[in-house]
Amino acid sequence: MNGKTEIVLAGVGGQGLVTIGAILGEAAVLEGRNACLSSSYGTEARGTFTKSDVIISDDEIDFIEAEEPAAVLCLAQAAYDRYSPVLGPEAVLIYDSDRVTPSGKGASRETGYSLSALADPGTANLAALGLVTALSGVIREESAAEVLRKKTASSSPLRKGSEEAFRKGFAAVSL
Amino acid sequence: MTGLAQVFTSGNEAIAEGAVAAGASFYAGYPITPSSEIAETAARRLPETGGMYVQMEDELSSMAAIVGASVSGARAFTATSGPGFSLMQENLGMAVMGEIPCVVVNVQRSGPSTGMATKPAQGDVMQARWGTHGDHGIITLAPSSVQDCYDFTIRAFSLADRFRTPVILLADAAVAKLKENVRFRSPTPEERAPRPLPNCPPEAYRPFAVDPEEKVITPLPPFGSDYIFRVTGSMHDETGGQGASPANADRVIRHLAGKIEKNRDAIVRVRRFFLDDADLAVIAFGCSARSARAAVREARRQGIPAGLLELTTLWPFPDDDVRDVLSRVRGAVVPELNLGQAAGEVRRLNDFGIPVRGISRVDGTLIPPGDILSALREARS
Repeated sequence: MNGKTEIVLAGVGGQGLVTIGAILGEAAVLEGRNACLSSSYGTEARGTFTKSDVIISDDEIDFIEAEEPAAVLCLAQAAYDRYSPVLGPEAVLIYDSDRVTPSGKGASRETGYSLSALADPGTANLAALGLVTALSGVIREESAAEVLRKKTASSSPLRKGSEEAFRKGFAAVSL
Repeated sequence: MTGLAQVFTSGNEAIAEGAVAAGASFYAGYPITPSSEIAETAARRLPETGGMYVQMEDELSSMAAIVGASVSGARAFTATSGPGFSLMQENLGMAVMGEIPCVVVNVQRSGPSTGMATKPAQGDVMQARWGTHGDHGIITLAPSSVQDCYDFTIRAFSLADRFRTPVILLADAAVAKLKENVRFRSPTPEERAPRPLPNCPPEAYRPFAVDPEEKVITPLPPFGSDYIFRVTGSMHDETGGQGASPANADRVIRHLAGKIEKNRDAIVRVRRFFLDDADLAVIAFGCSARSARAAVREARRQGIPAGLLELTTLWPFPDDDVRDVLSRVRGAVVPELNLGQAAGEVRRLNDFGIPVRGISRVDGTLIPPGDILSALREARS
């Protein structure tokens, strides 16, 4: 759709999905594109369903939620169950195989990765960002890495090892 | 401005940055979802720029504190959401009556009462207008993007000073929590201009003098200067002294409404998308204007001649612009996250007998563009 890509990052509260959504958006802005991130979550800090919609576009972005996502990341069974049945044939679904049991129905466009094999729990979201970046191709690897370096250098809560986790996730796709 | 680097940040942070850019030097507030990042950012940024951030015990005192800071000459603001905005109404009325400039940000969430703290709504349109009791005018701006959050905050301070009035920045959880690219432009000298000082000797100063044409708003010098004045929430004469005579009360209340009404040209702003040849109009504001823009663009792709009037000023209501649009189209659609608060205003202006249909959503989710598109298709048939 004329240079517009929508990505959904879904899971449960506390997994760092809003954080990686913001990194995707910021990396896109670094590349001179328009981006927006809208998040839906409950009042609880952890544990309930949450999703972040990232839209990256060369044009002005109108509606702020994803309607036809090109890629969906599911870090919880609830997220998978919600998106797997309704995704279009062109969309890619990426899931954490440690937490999600796939239905098998969408096998051709669904890929599972064990996040625990790629990163420790504190940086698993960054590994997931690596997967999304590689599989969607929506931003360049180096743009995300630049944002990560900037964020870890500042007072943000991003941990050391974030960039390594991101790189590992990115590299896992081409293996 | 175009050369300025873009940053990727939230509406809430952009509001606080807009306030700092506008020269605001005082924030008093009580954090509340979904507005808390405004307090958080103000707490960090104001001390860096020589300003002051005060975490108050509640929203009653927050509102009182910014009124006090403003009287002393500071550009002062607070931010809250529905429950806190309700608590601010009493002292907001004090600012209206005392003609004290200030900016109150209300990031709307689903209500009534504590409602759903993290879910967006647009249910405070009428509260912004009439939440505090008694006849008065008020200015209310509605941002639909993170850039608007920044720009409208700057404008809010400028309007507040110019018309000696509280200005409500009526954001919503969707736009305030949204992150997108924004340019933190430098305000114009006019936008940052200090409040004018009286051009009369102190002994001749009458702080509540009224120009019947409302062309000149009497300046408000900072408390503690040579210009001595009294501020009261009670009915007062031109000096600020007791003034409960029928003639004076009539004059004051007509002034509080008139200084806004008679300056609509300087206050009311709208945006027009594809309206020139439209025979159907969507009239929307805030987050719903984003849905509407997507719907109108899609309608055009499908050959439906629809346009969008985005109300970036909600109060005073853009009567002339709405009436002008209604006079040119065959039907209008008003999508909003409430049960028809803006739609009712649009119908008030519908002297043309065209169908005006509201799209109301109050489940804490946004209006999908497809819903608006369907309404446009129905309106056409």
